[in-house]
This record gives sequence, C-alpha cells and structure tokens, in this order.
Amino acid sequence: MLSSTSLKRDWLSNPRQDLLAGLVVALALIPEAIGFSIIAGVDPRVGLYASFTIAVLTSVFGGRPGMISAATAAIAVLIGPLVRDHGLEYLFAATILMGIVQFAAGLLRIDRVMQFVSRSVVTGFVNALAILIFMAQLPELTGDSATLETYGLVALGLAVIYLFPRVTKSIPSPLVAILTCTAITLAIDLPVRRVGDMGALPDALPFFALPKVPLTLETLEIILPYSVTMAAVGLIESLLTAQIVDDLTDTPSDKGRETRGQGIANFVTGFFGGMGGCAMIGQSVINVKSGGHTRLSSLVAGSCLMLLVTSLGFFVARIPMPALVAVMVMVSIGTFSWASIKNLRTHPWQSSTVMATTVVVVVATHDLAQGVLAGVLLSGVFFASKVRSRFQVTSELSADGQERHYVLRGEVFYASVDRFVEAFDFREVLETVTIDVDRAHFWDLSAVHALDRVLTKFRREGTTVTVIGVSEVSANMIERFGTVNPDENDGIDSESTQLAHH
Amino acid sequence: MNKILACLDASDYAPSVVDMASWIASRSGASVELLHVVQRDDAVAARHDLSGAVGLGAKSKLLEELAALDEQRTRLQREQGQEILREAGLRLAESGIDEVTSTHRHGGVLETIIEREAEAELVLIGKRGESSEYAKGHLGSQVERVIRESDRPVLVVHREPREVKRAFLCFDDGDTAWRAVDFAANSPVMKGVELTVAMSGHKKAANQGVLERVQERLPNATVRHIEGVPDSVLPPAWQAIETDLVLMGAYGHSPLRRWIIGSTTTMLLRTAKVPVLVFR
Repeated sequence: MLSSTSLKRDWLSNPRQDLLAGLVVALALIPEAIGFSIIAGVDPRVGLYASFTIAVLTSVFGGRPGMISAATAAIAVLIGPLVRDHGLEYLFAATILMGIVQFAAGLLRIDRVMQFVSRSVVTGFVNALAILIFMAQLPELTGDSATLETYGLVALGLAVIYLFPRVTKSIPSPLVAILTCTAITLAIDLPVRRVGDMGALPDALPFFALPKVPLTLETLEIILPYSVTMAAVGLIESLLTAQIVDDLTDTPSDKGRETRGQGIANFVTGFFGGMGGCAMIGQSVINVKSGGHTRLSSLVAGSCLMLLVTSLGFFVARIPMPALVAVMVMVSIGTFSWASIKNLRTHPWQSSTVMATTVVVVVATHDLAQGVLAGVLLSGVFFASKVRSRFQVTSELSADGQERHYVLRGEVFYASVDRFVEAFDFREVLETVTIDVDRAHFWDLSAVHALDRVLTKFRREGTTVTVIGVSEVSANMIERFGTVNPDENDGIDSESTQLAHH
Repeated sequence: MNKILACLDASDYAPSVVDMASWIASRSGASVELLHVVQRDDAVAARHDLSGAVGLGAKSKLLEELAALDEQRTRLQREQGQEILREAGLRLAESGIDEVTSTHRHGGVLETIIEREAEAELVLIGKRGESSEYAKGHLGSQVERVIRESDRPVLVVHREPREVKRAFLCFDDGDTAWRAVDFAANSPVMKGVELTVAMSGHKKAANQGVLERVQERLPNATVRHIEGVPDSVLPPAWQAIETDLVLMGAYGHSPLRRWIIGSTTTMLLRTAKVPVLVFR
C-alpha cells in the first residue's frame, strides 16, 4: 500500500545530498577497491568491477538504503589462497556460489540468527577487521618498499586526510591526499610503486562471461568451502553494518531483503569478473557523514566509481601506492572501535574476554567467520554460567524429624543440574520429602532428567516424594520428557499432575 | 459514525479542521481523535560534511552529533505539537464536543495517518501545510498522498469553512462516486443539507439512466447534467450555487490512473475554495 511512498523515500527524498555523498563515496571507494584487490592478490580491475556491480545491485535489491556495499577487506583476506592455488576463474565461480549461498540463507531468514551475536562479538569483529586492513598494508611498508620516500608519502597522505577538513569540508580529504601525493610523485619522480604496477586496470565496462572452470564435483569441492566462508563473513559484516546505519539514521531496515540482496549482488558479480563483496562499515559511515541515506547514494557511488576509473584510467595508474596505504590506514583507524579499548577496564571481564577472543581468532585464522563463531560460543558459555548461579535450594526439617521440605528457586538447565542434584541429602533418613519447585524453571532435558534422578534416588531410600508447584514451562518439559509417570508414581501430588496435563 | 480522525499541524488550517470536525461530530455523535505528528527533519541531510575522512571513534562521534541535532529540533516540535493539540481540544470543548482523544506520535505523517485511520471512519486534513516555506514535507504536500493511500473518506478542509447548508456532489458514475451518493443518502451528517448532484460529460443520453438512479437514491437532491469537461465546468457550477461543501469520488478507476498527477480529482481539489470530502 505504501509502495509509492517508500519508493520515493528510498530513492528521491534527498537527491542533492545523496548525489554528493555518492560522489564522495565513489572517490573513497577507488583506492579501497584497488587496495583490497591487492590484498586478495588479484588485478585492481577485479576489485573495481566488483565494487561497481555490488554497489549498484545492492542499491536496488538491498534492504538497507544508504548502506554502501562493494569489494571488501573481510572477503579479500579470505580468497588469497584460492587465487594463489587455483587461479582467478575459480574465484569468479566461488563468488557466484557465494551469492547462491547468501540468497538461500536469506530465504531461510538467517538474519535472525544475528540476534545471537552479542555486542562484544560485534566489537571484536570490527576491531579484528580494522587490524586485518592495517596488516594488509604491511607488505607496502616493509621489505623492498620500506624506503624513506614511502614513509614520507604515507605520513603526508595521513596528514592531509586528517588536517585538510579543517580548511574545508566541501571536498573529500582522502581525494586531496591522493592528488597531492600523486602530484609530488610525478613532479620529482619519486621511486615508489604505482597502482599501474599492481596489475591491469579496467579500460571498459565489465562484461558478462562464464567462469572458465570445469563443471565438475572436484571444482565444487575446491570452491564450496571458500564460498560458504565468504557468504558467512559477507553476511555478518553486512548485517552488522546495516545495524550501524540503522542507528546512525534512526530508520529501520529489512534485514531479510538485505541478505537476499547481497546474494543477488555477489551472484551477478561473479559473472562480470568481480570478486565477492559485502557491506562496508567505513564507507557506509562516510556516506552517512556526507549526508547520504537513500538508495540513490549507493547507486551513484557505484556508477561514478566505474565512470571515473574507466575514463581516468591513465591517472589512476599513476597514483603512488603509499597514497593508497594512507587511505587504507585511515579506513582501518575509522573502523577500529577505540572506545572498546577504554572500556576494557570498566566492562565485565567476560565481555572483554569475548571481544579479545574474537579478535585473536580472526587475526590468527584471517577468517572473520571463525572469530565470530568463537565469540558467540564463548558468550553462550558465559551467559550459561551466569544464569547457573541464579539457582538456590533451601530446606527445612519438620519438628518430628520425619519430613524435609525443599524449596527450589531459579533456573535449572544443563549447566546447573550438578548443583541441583548436590543440593539434596539422600543419606538423611526421612519418611516424606516435599520438593517445592514453584519458583524454579526446568528448561531442558538435562533438568528433567536431574529431577527424575532425584525422585528415583529418594524412592530407593524408601522415602515418599511430593513435588509442588510445577510451573507451566516446567510442566511442559516434565510432561514431554520425564520418565517419572505421575500415574504410576505416587510421588507427584495431584496438584502438579493437574498442572502437567494443562 | 464512531470516530473521526482530525489531523493537525502548525498551519492556520488547524482551527478550520477542528471546526469541521466539531460540525461532523455534533451531527453524527462521533468521537474525535486529534492527531499531531512530530516529523523529524532529517539530521543526516542537514549536515554539511563532505570530507570523507574517518578518524578515531568516527562512528560514535557521528552518532552523537546526529542525535544531538535531532534532539534539539524534535524537542521544539514536540512542545509546539502539544500546544496545537491542547488548543484544538479547548476549541472542541467550547462547541460542546467532549469525546475527544489526542494522539501525539513520532514518525512519517502519511504512515501515521494510515495507521490511525484504522479506527476512524473519516479523516480530516488541512488543505495545505504550515507555511509556504515549510510546506514541503509537511501535511499540505501530503494531502494528495493521504487521499491516495487512505481507505477512508478524507475531508480536505479549506480555510475558514462556512456552516454547511448547501453541498455539491461531483458525480462520474465510478464506484467511489457511488460511495459519495451513499454517504449523502445515509449519513446523519448530511441531513438537512441542500444537495446538488452534477454529472459532466458529453453523452447526455447514455447518462440519463444513471442520473435517474441517483435521483432515486437522493429524492431531495437536485440532479443535473452539465455539458463539458469536469474540471472546467464543475467549479463554476458549485460556485454558482454557493456551495459550502463538495463531495466527490477519488481518483480514477484503474490502478494506473492513480499515479497520474493532475488528474481531475486533483484539479478539482485545487480549485475548490470550500472543504472537499473525497471518497475511496
């Protein structure tokens, strides 16, 4: 019903600002796309083509207006080995498969799983990404390239990037940095590497081509692991970035559509000679910062990128690598969550451990998906151990010493069953035992089995057991999974039997 | 009628909207829901920073900056909105309408109206926005969109409406026009209002049967045919009888025609110097 409204809001609510922001993003994307291509070990052309198709397609099919997607560092660090061992064509095939995986994940609404990714894992992801981007610059700063000229240009580039906005905020300072560095390099003929030395640049629009790989199971075996990891990493970063843009603009987004949109974009990109990509945190922040927040800015960013690169190829080839390094260092700094370092001391140690683990695993494996998985697992364990302590047993002996009344409070689940069973004294000689579970919850099979164990143990001691106040969730669990059948066992009183049959 | 929804903004149409709401409520016994929407201007678009540089804590800094910008503007708007709702409530109370609820919401004007109209049977809205300077993005520019998206009859209120003694129904034999006829025939609001029904067009003979059916439904109304194009002959006709209210069906019959701006309905809406009740 609101299609006309949303169409207008998504595309044309803010055209002037969006055009400008799109242009700023396009200019910032060029060095990044080239930089990420170099990280992946492919020609700059591959990253630039990918950035074009992904940015344009996600602007149409994505679910988060104003978010910028293109070739990214997160994907680039994954695909190096594939390109090295099997060649570029396998990368294209893997990208196509990545798109299929993502689209399928979108249909399965995998975006909802993101709710299990805690804040600390997200912070760890962001920091790890920043570290990866920075580390990827090291080859340009060490070894043969570690010359005074290189360091000088990087320093100059960074100085311009951060100081130029004080002069004017009407032109992108990374662009000024690149222009300045290029001009100086050309003027005094500095012996530094140029973008042109890194491989082929695009001289035409990307064209459709099937990847030249044999369509065999063997190929699938090679590319599938890469595709799945690329898809996972791409979705994590995309959904995370979508959340950031949601927060910045205070508008909602359709995460399911975004997931499918990423799939469509990567699927098509593989056929047009591009590497896989996803949403970019840094670029999306730059976009919003420059005033862009509709689909238009993303479309403009992608289109301008291609126009600029194809028409100004001769200039792009002359950009000195140190200038690119400076831009990438800026992206790395902008991506890193500095507040998380300050918060290390004040946040609970569990959160900090989750964050640090995520970072360490990512940096060690160069795989953001594994880091996130480790972080999610660890936060699950920490959560379970916290909830576990919310379990308490008190008991009271009757005046004649023949009856004990146990009162259970809190959560009973797999992590707390040991404490649960330990809370009972089976050696005490008693006639009857009542267990009041009114304020306890039995969450899973382990908990139900533990209750069964306790009941059986008391029975073996010849004690009559009565369970009081089985709450509804617990009743459900006990009814479905408990082996102690109320009809056969006098132990469970009529009140709880009634409840159990609700 | 149970409830009517009166949409208010800071324009000088607001009192007129309230007056019309009070007229309808007093005749039909409907309760009135007063709605004001606090619509935030976009903080993202308001910043002028194309530097493209991201430094330490870029995200949190930007978020803080945007939130601060929004906070300032919204607080002002909220206070203003509360004042508008309070005044409207007083005005209704003066004319003896007690069953009044006020709804103050954040969000898009159109979305909120569509959301709130679910409980209402009629929507009232001012013809134009707060001022020419602010009109863009406010109620005025939204009138057309509200009419398009709404499922309810929408009363587009002109400034300083007169007490409704005479009404003029623009008839084109469409479904929505028949709904207007039903309303004129059944609603207590229209009781005692002198009604003229006019159909314009060329094929007078073919339309005669239709007009007879209209006359049957509305025995007290003057039903006539006017030769000519609707948007050029109908306004003079309603001006001639000095009508106080115009009724019409909204927009064409095909979904495609709904998109065409400058349709007959829009033209008639623009020309009218009196409130127009548009049916869906």
